Amino acid sequence: MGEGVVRNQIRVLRFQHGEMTQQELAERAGCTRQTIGALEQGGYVPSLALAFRIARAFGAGVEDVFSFTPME
Amino acid sequence: MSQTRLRSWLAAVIWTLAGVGFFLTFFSGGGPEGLASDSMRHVAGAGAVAFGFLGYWLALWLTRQRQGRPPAVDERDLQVSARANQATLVVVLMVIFTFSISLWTVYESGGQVPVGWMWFLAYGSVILAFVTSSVTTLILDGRMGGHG
Repeated sequence: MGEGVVRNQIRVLRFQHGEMTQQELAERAGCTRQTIGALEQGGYVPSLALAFRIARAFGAGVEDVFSFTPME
Repeated sequence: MSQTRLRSWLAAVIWTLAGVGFFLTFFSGGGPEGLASDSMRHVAGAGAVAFGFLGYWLALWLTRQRQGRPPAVDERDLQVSARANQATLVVVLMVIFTFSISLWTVYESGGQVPVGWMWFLAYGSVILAFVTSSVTTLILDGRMGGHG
């Protein structure tokens, strides 16, 4: 739909959490390592459920991990 | 490599091989002419398609989800598959339409189409669907960052 851009801090948070690997995060969040890679590259926007699971894997809130910038 | 990507690579290779075998069987023996009375070509062509199905089934079995392992497929894979299936539907419909209307154009004046073309269209559309599906899955998966 292109109403805005969803960005995330997954790569930063992984390194702040003891250099957690993509595989570790994927297992905690219940997705594949490729999806974590895709999220970090900005190639994929997750569902709300996956966004919550990733945030919980870091012990953070969704808005600490994901941000939304509306198109002007 | 993700299960989706691995399966797509395997499917692309298997169905391309099946397609080559099918094309060689069909065209090396003279194309649609005389196909109806040539049982060897029937068997060989159907054998190529059977090879595709058996190989594909084997690939699915070899890459199945193992117990105790992390999920092999997630929401992104399902999204990639859904988009690939949409693209495949459009491509197969367009090819079948173009092929059928071409037969009409070529044979319109004669009023008869060699029945071998129907056989070719039936088996060929199956092979085309599998090849297109696997290739579009690979393309879409790559675009959505799945090659990492």
